[in-house]
Amino acid sequence: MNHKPFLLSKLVGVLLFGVLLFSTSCERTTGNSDTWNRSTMLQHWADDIIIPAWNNFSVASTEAVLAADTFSLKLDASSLETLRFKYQVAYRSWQKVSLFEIGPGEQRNIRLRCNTYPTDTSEIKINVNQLHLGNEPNLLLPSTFTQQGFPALDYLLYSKGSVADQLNYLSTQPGAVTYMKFLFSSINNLANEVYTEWSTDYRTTFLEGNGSSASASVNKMANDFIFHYEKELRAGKVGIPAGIFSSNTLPHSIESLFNPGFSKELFQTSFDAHVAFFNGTSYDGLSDGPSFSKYLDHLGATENGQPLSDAVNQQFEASQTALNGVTESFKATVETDNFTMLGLYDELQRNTIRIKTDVMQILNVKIDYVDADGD
Amino acid sequence: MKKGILLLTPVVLIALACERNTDPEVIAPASYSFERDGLTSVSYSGQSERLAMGGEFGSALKDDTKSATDLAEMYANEDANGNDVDPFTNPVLNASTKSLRSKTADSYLYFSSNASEAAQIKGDFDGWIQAQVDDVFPNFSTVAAAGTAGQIADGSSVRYVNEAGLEYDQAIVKGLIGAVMGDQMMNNYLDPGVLDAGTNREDNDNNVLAADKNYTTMEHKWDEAYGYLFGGAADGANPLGTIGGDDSFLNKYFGRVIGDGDFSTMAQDVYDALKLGRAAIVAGNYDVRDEQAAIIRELVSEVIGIRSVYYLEAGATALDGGDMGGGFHDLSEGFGFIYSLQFTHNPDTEAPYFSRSEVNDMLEDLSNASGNGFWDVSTTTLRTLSTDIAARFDFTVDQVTN
Repeated sequence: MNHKPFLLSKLVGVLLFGVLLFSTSCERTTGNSDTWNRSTMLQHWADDIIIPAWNNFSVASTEAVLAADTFSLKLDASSLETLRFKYQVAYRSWQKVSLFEIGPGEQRNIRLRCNTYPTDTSEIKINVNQLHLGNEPNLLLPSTFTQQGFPALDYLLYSKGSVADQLNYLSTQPGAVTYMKFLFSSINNLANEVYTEWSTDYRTTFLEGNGSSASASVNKMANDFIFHYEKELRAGKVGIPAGIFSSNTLPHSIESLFNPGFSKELFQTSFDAHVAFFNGTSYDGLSDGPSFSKYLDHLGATENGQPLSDAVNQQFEASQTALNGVTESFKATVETDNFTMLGLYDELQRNTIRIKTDVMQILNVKIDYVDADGD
Repeated sequence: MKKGILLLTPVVLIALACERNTDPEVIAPASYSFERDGLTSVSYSGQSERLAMGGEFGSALKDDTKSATDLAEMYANEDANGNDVDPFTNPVLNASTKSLRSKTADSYLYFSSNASEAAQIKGDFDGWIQAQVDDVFPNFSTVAAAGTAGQIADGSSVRYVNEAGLEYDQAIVKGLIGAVMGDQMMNNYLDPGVLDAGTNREDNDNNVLAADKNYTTMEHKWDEAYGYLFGGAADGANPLGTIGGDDSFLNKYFGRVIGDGDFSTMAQDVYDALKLGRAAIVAGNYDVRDEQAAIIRELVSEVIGIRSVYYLEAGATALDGGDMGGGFHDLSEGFGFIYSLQFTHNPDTEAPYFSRSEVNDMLEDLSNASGNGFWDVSTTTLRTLSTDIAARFDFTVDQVTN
């Protein structure tokens, strides 16, 4: 506190005071004033992380569409296995763009359309029948968000278990293959649209938003990052199934319910995307650049005498350690060893608080979302 | 024995100290439980019924299989010609002679000589019901857009909005909080014009009971005020344990408000005042009664003010963040709470914190009818409204949003 530079603005002073008030046991401080080059960071984010991620998703979902077409012509076990594989590749690729809904994705509700779970199997059955009669459901309607995307495909591709049983279901249920192809195409169309917009106009818009107002790109990205970490990763994938927000555990609320052995891998992919983005690691993992962690270092942010960015990363490591103790199926973990799941939640929660309060205050970013009051 | 006396002494001392600090003549019981000749003298079944009617009505407003007539009959519990109808699923409510519509803008203090305004207010609710059926229900399977009613996503929830982004069901339910529960409580049953009407005071002083009842009329009037806040609680005498979950109206929002550390005592405070006021009636101490009425009026009004500000701010934040569906939902709730401000009661002025014409001006700004409604309402306008509302009350915007 005694090292506070003389020229600190009043705002930073107030901010600092707030930070000190929040942390009675740990002392977190900022040093340098904010001369961080936001433009360079935005360019690195767009060109080395976000656009490659959307490109990968566009390609992966196109390949899934092709595999679905092949399967619909052959209707055999081998083409179903290929389709399941391509579906998994696309779903993993999705986990790396879900964080980047900002702009074109948000306009299209892409996260709600691609990954709302648990999915509504009774409505899917109705849609399958309706599609067989020639009535195409309107996937733009919010009420159909629980009937589309990867969770609906999870049902169509895995609900009967073995390849043979699934093949039997798909080849004997009129409309099922058509609906499955319809869902893959809609995901692919969304992916292509978002990628195209990012590669053209939206990249410019994103880079031009290099200020520090609430609507500036860094501020929005910071909000999207913590929102996604808190709601999708911590709550959606772990907290809700583990029963944190309900009186009982909800094992049927996990991601990838019909292929639960895939749930941990999906979580790991999403988790890694958060860690990589925080540290500015490029999409291909081969280089790095300006990031939230380096921005915090530039500001001299510390916690208990060590860089705040290190504290965040150490907590990511603690979360990874907790994750290592969870089995491949989050459903099985919740059902037989929920204590482990709760342990993972706790480790994730520690960084929620650290990022949402300390990091955001030091970056001078106001949280732009409020917790819905549930009515 | 000696030990017993020693233990008793501090209790007596504390009791004496407490008595001196409050009022020497009136002591509130531990719970809202009052008896005469060993039987309860508390009754507010009519309020419990209306809260339950409001629950069914609120759900039906989002059911596109309902006709305008169905909904109007749930609101009025009679048909257009005043004939008895059975619009509810709960047979107790069908058998009831009570209704929400008959108690809309119906308080003694504000509306007994203001029939024209009361009729306008009932007309507001009738109009929203009709518009929900005419404009929104036909578009239940349409994606909402500026100028087009339909569905919009609010996170994983689906909202149904009119062409301007407003959810009529939210406007109606939140509007009823002021127009029925708040108005009846603050401006009718807690008002001396009702409590002391006719021979009520003389009867209360002389223990003259209402016909075939175990209560004096004044006791009952006070209980009816209590029932509009706590009439949905399973344990009516000790309702604070379930506050927030007992209805979708005042109780729910007292529950919400005390979740904010700045306002954490408001439910306890209003409960204590209702309890002490009722005890004051039993004791015949009308000064204490009216002091408690003033506290209750201020607290209930403040909850309506706090939630108005909360939803304006939450709506502005959501819209700034590009979350249209979430923002519209907040603003729709805010619309109803702002509407409810005209039924609040400032004990210092004996009038609402905002008049009907002031409320209408604010709703006009919020509705942005000259533009595309909530689709392009300025968030600066929303924040100005919230600042203006907070300025009339004893709380700040920061207290609500932090």
